[in-house]
Amino acid sequence: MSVYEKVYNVVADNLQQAQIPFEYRKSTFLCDVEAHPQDIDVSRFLSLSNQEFMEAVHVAILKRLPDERQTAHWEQRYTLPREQFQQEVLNSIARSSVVAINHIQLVNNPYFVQKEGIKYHMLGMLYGLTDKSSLREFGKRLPQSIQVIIRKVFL
Amino acid sequence: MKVYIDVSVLTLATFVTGIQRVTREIAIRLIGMGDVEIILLHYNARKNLFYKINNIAFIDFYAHNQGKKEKMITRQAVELQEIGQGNIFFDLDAAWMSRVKRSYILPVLRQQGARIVAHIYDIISVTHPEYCLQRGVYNFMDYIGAHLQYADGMISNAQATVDELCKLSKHLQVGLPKCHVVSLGADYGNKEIIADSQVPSELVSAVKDKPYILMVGTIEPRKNHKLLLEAYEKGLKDMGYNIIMAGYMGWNMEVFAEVILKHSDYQKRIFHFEGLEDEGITYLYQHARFLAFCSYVEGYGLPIIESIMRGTPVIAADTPVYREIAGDYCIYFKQDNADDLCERLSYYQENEDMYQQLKSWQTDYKAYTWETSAYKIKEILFGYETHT
Repeated sequence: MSVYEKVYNVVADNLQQAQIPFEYRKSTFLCDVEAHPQDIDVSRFLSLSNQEFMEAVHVAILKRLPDERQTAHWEQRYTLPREQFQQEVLNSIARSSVVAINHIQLVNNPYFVQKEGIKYHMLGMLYGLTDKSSLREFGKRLPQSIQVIIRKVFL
Repeated sequence: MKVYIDVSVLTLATFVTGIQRVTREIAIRLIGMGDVEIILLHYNARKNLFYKINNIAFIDFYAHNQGKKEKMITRQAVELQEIGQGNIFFDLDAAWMSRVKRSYILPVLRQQGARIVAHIYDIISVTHPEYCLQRGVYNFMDYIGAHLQYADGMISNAQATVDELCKLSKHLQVGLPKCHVVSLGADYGNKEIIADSQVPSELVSAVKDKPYILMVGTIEPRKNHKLLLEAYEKGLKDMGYNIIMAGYMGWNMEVFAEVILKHSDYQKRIFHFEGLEDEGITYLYQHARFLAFCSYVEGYGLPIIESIMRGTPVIAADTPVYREIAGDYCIYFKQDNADDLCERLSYYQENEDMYQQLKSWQTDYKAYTWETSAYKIKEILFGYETHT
């Protein structure tokens, strides 16, 4: 058992004792450790069940769990054949602004070649905005709901 | 010796508090010492590269409030491959929040012969994840797992944290790198008195009404603000105390916030202030009867030191870490026990001479300065260089 798996078990046990469910699955964590920051190796995720795959890929690429709306959308598709489901999830995430902004590549992807069109490059130019402290300070003064949307797009 | 420090989380932070504040203070002083080459790094996720930070611009911005933050980051890329034999990679910032995982870069650095030292502020995310945001817990699992495997040394601020690390490493059956304890600095030497005219009028009216018990810091489950409210109902109110809480309302506190807002004594005897400047916080310390520190668990407890140095007596939950940092300069109550908290405060209410003695005893307290903390850290880092 790897150290990472052991650490996960300790945290999961402590949360269980506190009667709090751990939102992150072990498979999500173990597929994510030691991963290259930009080159996401899709082959690490392919053996997961549809639900596990959807969650793990979201966390590895977007650095967050799917929100309620996304979960509800994918829940309806868990019964799809594994390959079809995985391709749909990857297609959806590959189009996200986070992928473009952080120049994330889906490597060892058996389903499609990732497109890097004009939209991808235009979005990528927005990366500079995430580094501008004055803009961040301005953003912090915006209403909470708008801050949530901005975080989803840029962070 | 070159010491590489990734300060990406600090450079992106809008508010410099907590770990970012420590990172800032230590980095400024390590640069200022001059006998060690400090290379501050900023990670660019789009390019997947670290960029060197201009040390002079860093000091100008963070020590002298001059210049723009984004101007500090140079165009000089630092490839991971550069950090090798004879170099130290010092993880001082809250790097688990960075997009570049330690489980990815530490094995690379280790293979290249770099020495790795981590500043471990606490391991609360592992020992008490119920008090932490799960996203942070998730990121920290990677961070601590990587450092337990690849770090050559760890620096903590309290022996209590080192003891927790020992327990964890035994439980995980992994070796623990050599651990060092370096207390955090606290520079509140200047006893500047803040006048009423320097703070918002609502603060003045809140402090002038009745003696009050103060709690400082973000309001979150781990800080246990509800205990002070319970103590207020159980006795503090009748003893004539108000309570004042200064700090942002954090995550998972919706229920508590509602209880406060709907309390019949809200803004009469129970006060909550958010977003206060340093003057406002100092002003609250200045007039408080006691600072209450009720947290279930902490890595250090800087407000305790801050309060003692400002001459305000502290009543804290009885935990090893507070005993370690404040010793006899603080009075303790049984953790999570509102009755005991009331009882202790009642004693000092009825024995004013003892209260005054406590206040005067505190003037002897000698806290670390940031210079001392940074110097000790530098000595530790030098030790790793000579072992290369």
